[in-house]
Amino acid sequence: MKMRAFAGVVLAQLAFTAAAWAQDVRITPDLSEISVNSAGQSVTIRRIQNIENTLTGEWARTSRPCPDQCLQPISASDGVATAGELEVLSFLQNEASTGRGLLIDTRLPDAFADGTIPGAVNVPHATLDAQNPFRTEILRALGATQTGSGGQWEFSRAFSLMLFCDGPWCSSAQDAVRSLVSSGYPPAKLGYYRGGMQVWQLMGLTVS
Amino acid sequence: MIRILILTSAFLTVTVMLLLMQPRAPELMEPVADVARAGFDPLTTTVDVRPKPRPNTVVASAQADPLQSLSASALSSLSATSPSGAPIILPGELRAHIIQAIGEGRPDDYIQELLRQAALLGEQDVPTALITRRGRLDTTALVEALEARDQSRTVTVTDVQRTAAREPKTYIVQPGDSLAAIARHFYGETGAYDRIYRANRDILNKPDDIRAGQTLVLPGL
Repeated sequence: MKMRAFAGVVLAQLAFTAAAWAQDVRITPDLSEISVNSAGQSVTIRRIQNIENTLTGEWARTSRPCPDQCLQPISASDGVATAGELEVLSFLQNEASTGRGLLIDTRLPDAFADGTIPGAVNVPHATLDAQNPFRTEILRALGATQTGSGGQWEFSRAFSLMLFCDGPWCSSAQDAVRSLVSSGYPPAKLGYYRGGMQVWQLMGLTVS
Repeated sequence: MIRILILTSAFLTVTVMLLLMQPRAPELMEPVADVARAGFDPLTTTVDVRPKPRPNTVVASAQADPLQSLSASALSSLSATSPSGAPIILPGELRAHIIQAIGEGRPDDYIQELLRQAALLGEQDVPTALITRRGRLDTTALVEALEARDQSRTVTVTDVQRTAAREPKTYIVQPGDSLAAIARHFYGETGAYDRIYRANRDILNKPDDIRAGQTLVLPGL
């Protein structure tokens, strides 16, 4: 009798676990995953399928001290579209994969190395600041061209960019957007993913 | 009953915690402040003691300027998207990058991409003599050329003017030769390729246009 009860409990647990795993955690009803090229390798972005999964550690924190890490407005700059996860995924599929766009992580290299959105490249916001004497090279690498030295920048062949940082409490992506706009980068070529790493991971999306 | 129990235990926990924290708080504050001060002192002294970076060394200036290393890292991240995979470089870093690339046994098109970028940045007049007949890069000669950049170039010019007429020595071009390699072999420096080129204008259209079997005049030897 005791044995049977025990077996029953085990079976019930197994069934529950199986149900949890079989649950299809899709991105949208029609989309369960996309493949992107990240540092030369193909990475599949999907959501974590374990419906019991929760964030832990640093990314589960709610109360970061402000003035250092304050809540950011929804818009980074006039004319720059703010994106959610679906827009970021569509940007990766339509712009980044065709070589027309770059998903840009504006955090410092250490944070980038710890994990980022697959396909992102690391351009810390300080490198886009007008104070950076090497900004010229960065802008060139983004596809901007300059008429003569010290001349006007031309952005018709520049990448379209989608910028993000740690999360809605992180200002570096907004700073980077504003630096780019002030350099003359067309706002229509810029996007801002406000959710950043924290919301990306809160949705259970793949990090590489 | 359970509610009362939970409330009581919560109250007790908070009281105990407050009791524990209160008297210790000032004691805790002191060492923390000490640590912070101790942490800052060595930093300031390091800055004072640090030797001044030599003007022409890339590595030293990269260490001194966090923005430069940050920019270099951003460029290397961006270059991961470029087809050849060659890094995008900052002005003044070309030589270190190329020597490193050669040391790592990178393919020629990788190094050529570096040179192309360098030329775009206006950093370096990329010597066409370094490209061998087959369009390959003469890497040995390239390193020589980069090393010779620090030395005065006028030496070659005055040399040419001084040595005028004598029976000229000749050399038959071998497969795989570049003008720079020949220059290095006979004159000890790749920069002398121009000297050979000018002496052989009648058979050479461009410094990289040499063919195996051609007889080159080596002026001044």
